[in-house]
Amino acid sequence: MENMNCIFLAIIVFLGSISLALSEAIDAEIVDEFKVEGKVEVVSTTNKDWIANTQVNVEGGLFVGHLRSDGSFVINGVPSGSYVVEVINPTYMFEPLRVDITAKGKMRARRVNYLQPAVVKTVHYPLEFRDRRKANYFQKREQWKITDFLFNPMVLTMVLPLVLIMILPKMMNAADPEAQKEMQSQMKALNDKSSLPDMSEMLAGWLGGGASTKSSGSKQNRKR
Amino acid sequence: MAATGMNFQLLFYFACLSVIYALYEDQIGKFDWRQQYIGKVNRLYWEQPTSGKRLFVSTEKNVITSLNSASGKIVWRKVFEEGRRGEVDDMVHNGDVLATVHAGRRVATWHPASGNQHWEIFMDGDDTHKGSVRFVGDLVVALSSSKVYGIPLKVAKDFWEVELPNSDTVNYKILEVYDGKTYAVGMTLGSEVKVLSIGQDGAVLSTKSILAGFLRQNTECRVVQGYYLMCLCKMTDSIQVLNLQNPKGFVATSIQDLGVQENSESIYWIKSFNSNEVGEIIRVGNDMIVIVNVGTNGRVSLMKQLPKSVIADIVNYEDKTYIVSLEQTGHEEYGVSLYDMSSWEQVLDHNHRLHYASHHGLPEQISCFLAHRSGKIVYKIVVLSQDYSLQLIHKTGKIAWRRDEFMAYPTAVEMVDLPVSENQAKFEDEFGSHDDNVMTMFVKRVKTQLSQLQTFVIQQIQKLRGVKHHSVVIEEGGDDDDVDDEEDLLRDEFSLHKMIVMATTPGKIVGMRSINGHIAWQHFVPELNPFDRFGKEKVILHVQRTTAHFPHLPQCVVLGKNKVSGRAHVFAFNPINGQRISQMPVGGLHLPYNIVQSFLLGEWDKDFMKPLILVDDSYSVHTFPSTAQSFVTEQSFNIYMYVSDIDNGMISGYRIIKQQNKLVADNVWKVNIQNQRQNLKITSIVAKKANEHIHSQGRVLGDRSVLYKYLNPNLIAVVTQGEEPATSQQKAYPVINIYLIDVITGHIIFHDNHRKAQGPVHVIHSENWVVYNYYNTKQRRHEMAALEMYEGKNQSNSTVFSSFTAPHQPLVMRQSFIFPLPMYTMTTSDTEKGITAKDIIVGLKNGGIFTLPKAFLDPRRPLAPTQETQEEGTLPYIPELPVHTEGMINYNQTLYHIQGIHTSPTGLESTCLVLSYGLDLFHTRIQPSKMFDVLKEDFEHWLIASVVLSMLVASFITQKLASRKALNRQWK
Amino acid sequence: MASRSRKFHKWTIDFTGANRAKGDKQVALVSSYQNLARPCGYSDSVNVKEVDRKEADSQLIVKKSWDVALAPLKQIPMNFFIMWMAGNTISIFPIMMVGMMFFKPIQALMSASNTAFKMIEGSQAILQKFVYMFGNVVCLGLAVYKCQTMGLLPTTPSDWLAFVEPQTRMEFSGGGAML
Repeated sequence: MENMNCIFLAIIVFLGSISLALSEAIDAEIVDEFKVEGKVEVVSTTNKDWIANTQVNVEGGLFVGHLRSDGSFVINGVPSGSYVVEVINPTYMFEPLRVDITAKGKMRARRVNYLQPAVVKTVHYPLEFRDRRKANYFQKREQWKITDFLFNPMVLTMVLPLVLIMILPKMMNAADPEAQKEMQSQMKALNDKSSLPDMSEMLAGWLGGGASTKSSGSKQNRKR
Repeated sequence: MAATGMNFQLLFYFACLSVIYALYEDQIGKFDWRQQYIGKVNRLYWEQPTSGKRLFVSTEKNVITSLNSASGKIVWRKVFEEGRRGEVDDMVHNGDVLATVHAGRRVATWHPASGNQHWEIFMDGDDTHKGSVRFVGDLVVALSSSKVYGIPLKVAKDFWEVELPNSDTVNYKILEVYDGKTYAVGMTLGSEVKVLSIGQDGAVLSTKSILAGFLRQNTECRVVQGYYLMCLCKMTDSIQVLNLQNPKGFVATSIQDLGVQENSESIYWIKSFNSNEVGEIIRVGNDMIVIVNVGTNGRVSLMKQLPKSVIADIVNYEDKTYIVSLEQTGHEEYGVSLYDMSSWEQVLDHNHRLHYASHHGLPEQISCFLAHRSGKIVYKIVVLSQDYSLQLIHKTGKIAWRRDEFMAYPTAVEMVDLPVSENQAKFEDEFGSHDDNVMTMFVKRVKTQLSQLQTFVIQQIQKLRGVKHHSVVIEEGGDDDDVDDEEDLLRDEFSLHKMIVMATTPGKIVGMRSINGHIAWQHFVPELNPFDRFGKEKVILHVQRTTAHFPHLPQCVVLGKNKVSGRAHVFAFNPINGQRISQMPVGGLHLPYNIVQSFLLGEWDKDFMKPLILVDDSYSVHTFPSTAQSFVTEQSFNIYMYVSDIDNGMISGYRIIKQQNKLVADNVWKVNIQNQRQNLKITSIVAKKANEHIHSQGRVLGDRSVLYKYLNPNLIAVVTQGEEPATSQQKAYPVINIYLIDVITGHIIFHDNHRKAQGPVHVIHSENWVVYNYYNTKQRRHEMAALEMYEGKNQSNSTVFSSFTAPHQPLVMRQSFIFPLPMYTMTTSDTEKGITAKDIIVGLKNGGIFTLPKAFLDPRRPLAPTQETQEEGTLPYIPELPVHTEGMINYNQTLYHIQGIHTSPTGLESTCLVLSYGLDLFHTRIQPSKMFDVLKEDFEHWLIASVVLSMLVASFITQKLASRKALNRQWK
Repeated sequence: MASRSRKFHKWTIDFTGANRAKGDKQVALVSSYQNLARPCGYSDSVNVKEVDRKEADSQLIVKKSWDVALAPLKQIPMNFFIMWMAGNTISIFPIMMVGMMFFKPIQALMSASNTAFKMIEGSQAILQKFVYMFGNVVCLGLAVYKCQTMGLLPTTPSDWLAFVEPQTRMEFSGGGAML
């Protein structure tokens, strides 16, 4: 396991150094202008209407590409550098890709990772964009459902005791009277408090006892 | 691995923080509206060959679009990059293709029906050169600064290119096609004209240089009648003509010879939408248009004078050439005439009059489309006006539609509450006066209530009769289309309906109803030009008096530069009905001084008017209205001002003092935040909103003690950007500095420096926090940073805040986050009392407007959550800010080139109005803490009422039943 | 035994207990013959005491009064249990419970002179009244304590934060970039 981790780390470091080297090359000098090419596909529909309101933004609209009727695009006049290429469509969501162009015009496309920019996961170039999902802009409105109502804990806490009170005695009635009697006696035994010491009596006895002795004392005094 | 873990955590916190506001699907269009604009039109074509159902248009806002000529609606729209790269230099249209050239470099062809691209070619050349494009045969020929390209229409393959000779010194401006030959015309100012003719196969047929010593910067040349190059030469008062087919030399015709009694300064071409027009229309003076003709000898002769004509266009239809002209016939009225060019007869059978509102300014360009309908010629005319609006006139001078394209050029936005009804105002007036005794107040109350009753009864009667209630006549400028016969401009219960006041670049000032975006009134002040603030066109728009001070009328003021003199230009008006205030001239007030700085005073005078303070370049202080001078003098002891020189990185503080009977700004402090080595430039200065309400003075911590906020109203955030030059060890890298400065004392409260970070930086400054974004060039990602300032656990002075006695060094907490999307701008929500949590509203470059709760941008987010931080309600720190589509308040309505977002509170504490402006306008409401002060619209009134009712009934019945049962038991 | 001198009975019930030691006022079923079988329903273990009527009454009153006086104190363990059950979250049930815990003792204290104190009679009335009051006060204290644990008591500066007025600004400033 640890070995695996080590290898993995090594790969990351290795890739990182490659990308660093690349980025240094990129930062060099703007020599020429290149073109970014690619193709956008929407697989979830056969309707081609989406092409009209789709555009490709490089680095947030610094360069914009418009689609041809087959979904492909070319963005001309892009100097060397590293750019995030996004496909903008209001209905379908696409994963952005990063394109690195070296000063010599070598192209590389990779996944966008903002947390670890040095990690390189190359993808195919010319770019290929495929819709990942439909954009959801809306909240679902909560609809009133009987099940929601019934499984509401409040309702459960109210209804269950009610059910117990209403139905259990009926069920008891159905059972034979002896069992009922037995239960009653059991209940009585449970409720029998006589075995427990009564506090008020105790107090009355305790405090009252003192009082009564006093009073008896006074009586005696009177007798004398 | 770590990333997925993070994502998971993120999801988890999302689930917890489900307070994030999102729309319901059935609320689409209920609170929001979007208006799509295209900008000022510079090229316009009617759909070929003959139908004319569509218009193909390219605009100054880097847009090409197709409009439906019957409704003016956008069929498709392609928006290009902002700035030079996206500019459409030229566009041409033939039957089945549109060809454009952008920024002198990129030629592209488009499918006219769908707007899909056919192909794009990148040309060699210089992108400051204005390119042009033409069709020849089945080729598209395009001109760049150094080459001419011939590209087959179908596929962008096997194209030819012709190197232009001496392209580094000769400016090749003109490309024209005649009889299968392509002519490229290059000019060298003061010396010569070069003419290249190129065949369809790309072979250079001839290259000629012709002496042209008259060429100057202001010499306007165009090709007329197919192959004559005609130049209006202002220096020699002559028209110079060159035959391109056989270029031998220019032939000059003096303007006087034409019989035109004007000097050449007032003579210029009439601009045409179409680049391949045969027209040779020249405007002479303000109210004369002449049409000239070039004879075979190259001499120019006058064909026709059109006196009183303000604009004309030439149109070819069925082998004939017609001239369409608009002539002023009265106030706000133009007549349409159509002449057959061969006979100079009026084609139209009767007078066509059209109503043309004066607030559009003069018509600038027109384009006409002719067709035969039941034996008669009918026309459609598109008119572009001075205020950038585009209208289509058809039939007998009716306006079919109008596109208010000035709305794509906002320079300032404000939202104003609508006034309460007069009755209500009287009612409220009762609380305003203190010198009434009880009896008079009582009488007043009874009176107002009686009058309220009266209006109520009248309204009810009218309702019963089915008569619509109209008391306020909206000044609609007499337009017959889309007249708002809606309800009066009165405040609604929660003040959700406001008046949006917007100033625009062409000088148009409009009032819009916030509920539907319809224009309530408009003014055209063409003299008013915007200032340049950090490279953006801005005017200063202030609400001097709100609607809350009945019977005083509300007042707004717009301050800009005069178009001619560059001095201050002021226009003041009532924001509700758009009427000018009484002493205001129609074109605004031209003030006799240059302005250095201007701001609105926070206090109002005895008429509830906040004076506008104007400081001229000699630092003496003026006020608008000028009557407020004495009030400002009274108040001057606590008025301070700061002015920053953005290029030199200097900020200076001033106080207003009285000196020899006049007010002057006296320099108190100067702060130099320049660093010569890094060449820093101030790129933004952000103060807090003046009328911001802050409800809570502190923040409750986990142990329930209070951390008091540092709420300095005089604090500004200043951003400077520059570049650290390269050294032997390191390459050059960009830097960003942020300063928080107290503008009363000049004290720098806080300073932070980001290396390897570049702009554009957008700053939000509100309450005790500052949020800004930047691009981290090292990690190549957009980041957002949050600063929060606290006084500490004790408040130094709980009643007043003075910068002189304020705590010297507040606690400043900071954190930064990754924001994964690039943005145009951002702002924060604003509510009536400031109780509602704040949202950060971000205008994204992907066309969305995204709301992010401020809680995510809290520098107190702990790395490791503890019991105490949970108690405090802070979210654990996650580097990436969550972006999810539910937070897009404009859902699928993509917005282009967002310039700014304006937020305004409503009468409901929970609700905030949002207006995003740019190429498109979008308005909606947001509720950052959800709707907590009114019942939700999906509140089930009926369910609850029926449950209560049935409960009542059930209890009643069971009571009856129970008593009967008890009785029965007694009988047993 | 005294019964011997009297008429012979198979068994007698001696209600007076005259022939017993004074104070030992026990209704005894005295069997004349030890060998006689006990009557049905008789039990040796159950001693029915008979108290002197007057004294018994007063004692009963004292006892009943103690019952009343101790009632609030007896509720305390129950209240503790309820408090524990309710938890510290602020929602409808805990709030209702806390409300009840406040309401009951306050109501009891307010109407003490009308209801509870009328029932408290006898020699120890003052002490009992005091105990009654004390019990209610303890209940109230318990409720306050519950509020404290729920964080409902405004005891920290944060609770008064909403009433802190915004600072009025002394200076006014405006400006910006040079136009």
